Amino acid sequence: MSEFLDIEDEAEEEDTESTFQGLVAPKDWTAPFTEMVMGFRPSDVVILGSQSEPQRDLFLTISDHVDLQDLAFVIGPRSEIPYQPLPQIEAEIARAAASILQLGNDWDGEGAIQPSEETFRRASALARDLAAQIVVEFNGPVLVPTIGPNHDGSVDVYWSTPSVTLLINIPNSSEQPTTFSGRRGTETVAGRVALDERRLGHLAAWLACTR
Amino acid sequence: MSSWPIEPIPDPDRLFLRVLAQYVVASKVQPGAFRAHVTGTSTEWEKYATPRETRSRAQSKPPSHYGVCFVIAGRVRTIPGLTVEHTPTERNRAHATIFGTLPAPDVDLTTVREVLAAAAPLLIHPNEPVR
Repeated sequence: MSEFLDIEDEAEEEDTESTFQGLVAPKDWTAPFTEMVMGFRPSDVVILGSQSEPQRDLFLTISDHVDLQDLAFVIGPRSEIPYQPLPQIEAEIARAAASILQLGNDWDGEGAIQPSEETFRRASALARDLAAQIVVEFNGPVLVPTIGPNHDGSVDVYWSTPSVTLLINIPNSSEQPTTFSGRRGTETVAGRVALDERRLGHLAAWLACTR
Repeated sequence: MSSWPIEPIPDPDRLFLRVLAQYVVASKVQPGAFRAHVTGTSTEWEKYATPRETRSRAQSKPPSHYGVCFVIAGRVRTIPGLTVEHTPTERNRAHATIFGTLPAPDVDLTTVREVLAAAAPLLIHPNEPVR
């Protein structure tokens, strides 16, 4: 408990805007936890306590309107230390780069578009970040995705294990939405996501969950 | 139109699809193998085709560039918006089409591709020689 209080105390002394950016929720915000987390950087998620022991004091900064009974986490300051590269992920990125970046246009004989280097870079960065978040933030295993091309020049990042799947499609234009879809048993998740790190925590949590 | 009668495809039956080598990684079919097709996704019904025959009928690239996977007709039909129809052509009685993969605002193509990829085991690896 004191550890987390210390975190908040330190944050209040630091640059509030850069450390706790986005923490102020709309007054009428009653979104469930999973939606709330989407607005923050994944490493801003700090395990605080069980659902039976919500730490109300720390949540007052976020919003008085969030139902604390549903929360097992609290948003806290993040470390700016970059993730360490995971060799398994780097190997897949190298394999995919050798395959995708040399395709050329019409690589399928049906007019397929060559994915751009920028699109591939965004896909690779996502694979790196998400895999590292699973390990670092959620204490999960190294889950290696496959990175593959699409006819329209977009790139897929695809996790497929016996218990969970997640497909994230990186469009060939950064102006188009990045979409995702996943399944774990009868549970499904799908939608659009902005490709900045702070919005990927819920996807890392989805992959990391082993229940 | 073809002279072959259009038949109902039972839910348990398999539909064979050619899969370009770029869409196979570690013997797994990747979601990229499934994409938006204005005319639907062409497959071949196992009642009138074998996986080898499906591979041999490749047109855009030589058959050696493709593997073959299958999907179960009934599984495809459980995906919202998708239907399976027997669409024989004069030269290919086995031809069947998965409709519903149109690029449309109400179709979540990422979900469709993810579900289909997970339900499409590989039967012939692209590395296998063509016989």
